[in-house]
Amino acid sequence: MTAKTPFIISRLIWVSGLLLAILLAAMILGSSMGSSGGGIISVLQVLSGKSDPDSMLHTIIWRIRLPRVLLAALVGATLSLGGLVFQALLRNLLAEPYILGISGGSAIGAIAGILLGLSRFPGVSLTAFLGSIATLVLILVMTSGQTVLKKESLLLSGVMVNAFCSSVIMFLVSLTQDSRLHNIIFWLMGDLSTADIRQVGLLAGMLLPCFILIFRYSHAMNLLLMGKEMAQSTGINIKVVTIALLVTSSFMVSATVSYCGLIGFVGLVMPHLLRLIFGADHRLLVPACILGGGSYLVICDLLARTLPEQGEMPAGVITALIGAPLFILLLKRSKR
Amino acid sequence: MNSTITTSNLSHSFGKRNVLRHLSFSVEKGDFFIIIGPNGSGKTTLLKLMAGILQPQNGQIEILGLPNRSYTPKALAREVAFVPQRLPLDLPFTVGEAVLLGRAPYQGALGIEREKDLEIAEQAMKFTEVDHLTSLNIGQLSGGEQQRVFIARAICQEPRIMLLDEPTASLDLAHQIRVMDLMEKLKVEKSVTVVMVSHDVNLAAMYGDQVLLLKDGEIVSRGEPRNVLSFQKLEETYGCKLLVDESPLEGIPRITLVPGRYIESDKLG
Repeated sequence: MTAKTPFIISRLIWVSGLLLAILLAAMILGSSMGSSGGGIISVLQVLSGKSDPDSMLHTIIWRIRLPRVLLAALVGATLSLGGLVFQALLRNLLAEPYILGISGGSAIGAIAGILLGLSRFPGVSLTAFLGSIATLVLILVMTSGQTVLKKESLLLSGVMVNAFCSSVIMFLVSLTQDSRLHNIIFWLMGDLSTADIRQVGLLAGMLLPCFILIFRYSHAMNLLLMGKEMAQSTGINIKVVTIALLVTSSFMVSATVSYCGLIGFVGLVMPHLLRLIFGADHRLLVPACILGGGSYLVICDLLARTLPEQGEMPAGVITALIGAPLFILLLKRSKR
Repeated sequence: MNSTITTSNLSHSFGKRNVLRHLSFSVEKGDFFIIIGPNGSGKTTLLKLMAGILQPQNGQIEILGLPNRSYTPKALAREVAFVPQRLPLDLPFTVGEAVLLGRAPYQGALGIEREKDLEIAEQAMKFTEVDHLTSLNIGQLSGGEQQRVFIARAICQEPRIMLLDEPTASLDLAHQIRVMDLMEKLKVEKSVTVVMVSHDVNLAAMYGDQVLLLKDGEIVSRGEPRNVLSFQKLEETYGCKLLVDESPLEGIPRITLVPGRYIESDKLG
């Protein structure tokens, strides 16, 4: 071991530390605000176990706000990371986690579940998950063999699957009239309000191994940016890396989408935003997307449920409302 | 045994198109080996097979005495480096970062760089004279500089064999010579075997220890430039009028293209 810490490690610690602090701050803020009031100090008391466990605030925070904040962090992290992986794999700046049609398949599954009158969890989540996994299998079969390595064929297959799914979704929606229509629309816009601490724990258990696996391939993603041939001649097993990243990221996106619907835009904008700030090294961007993407959705969800006078809006509305102008602003600045 | 690359009965096809047919030849250690031939003669395919980017469908390639299939991708990358024809000019890294990527075959999965990796990258950049550009982005460089950056990246792999696909194709005269001189220096100073695909028969004549002339996936001729680059073989292979005489430099062949109007007037006269 050399005495000097490698540059990448010190940067990694620095970036992760900064974003972790932001995430924690966002989560505390998210837990402390809501229609039943609170305040940061009393929330900290509740979270550290120094308050009356029977109090109203205690129940609200542990049963409602904390699960929701944790869910928002997990979903934001997954979607941002998914977007990052797809942008690297497809070498396409417009790639996002839904680009391969996983969202479409999941939506069909969810709508079918809602129309069958299944409960939100596990019923609809399960049908949505089956829908998205079926789509993933379909895409892998369609592009089987060598073509999975050709990014254009992968991209086009995804676009076609998405278009097909959209038609099916619109068909199903057009047939639905009663209150189930409202459920469908809310699912399609993405909804974090159904969070339950045990279900969120289950989701975390599925997602964390995916995060670790993707981080393991972060330098391979750097090498992939040089193009397939040069990456391969630098010792990367292209086939293994591509399939591992594709399947892992699709799986984790499927899991999140199945649980809370199609929250849009996070997966497209966060990788770009973080790239503008921290550069293109995926070894930094993977943790940055997990922590930064998580923070972003926690904040968006906080705004979504506190801004309206009555009720709340879907978090998916806020993600683009803030994200798009913010991104354009940063892009303008970085051109200088 | 002195050969670094040996192909035996090597064939390759894309769909129904046979690109290479039954090639058997070897590249000697420390040679500057230049592959020439018309478009579609299979030069690039042959180079990609040597680089392990394509796997031979028929026949075999031996790298340093072992079949290339017996290498893991990383092990092969420590022996063979490859500079493709089309460079990733949109690579969002600085020159220093891009060159350091060439150390991947010696690093763990996360590519964490040690002192030694930084030193080797620094030396490689000095070798190709891009060390003053370290903190610039790839996109900010001229074509010649970009080419030298990716050559430095390949040198970082500390290969015993360097493969290049038309590295001089889009460069001006001075940069062409600079790249060719660099490769000669690599050969002489570091005893690296250099295999290059080129369209420039004159550069092949000036730098090649051995030249391989391909047509339709078959070997037309192989040997020293003065034997391979003859008027007859070139005209037969390329199917156009050429003048071949002796260059004022050391008596190597000099190939001059003949514009169509000279041939026309010849007919008229």
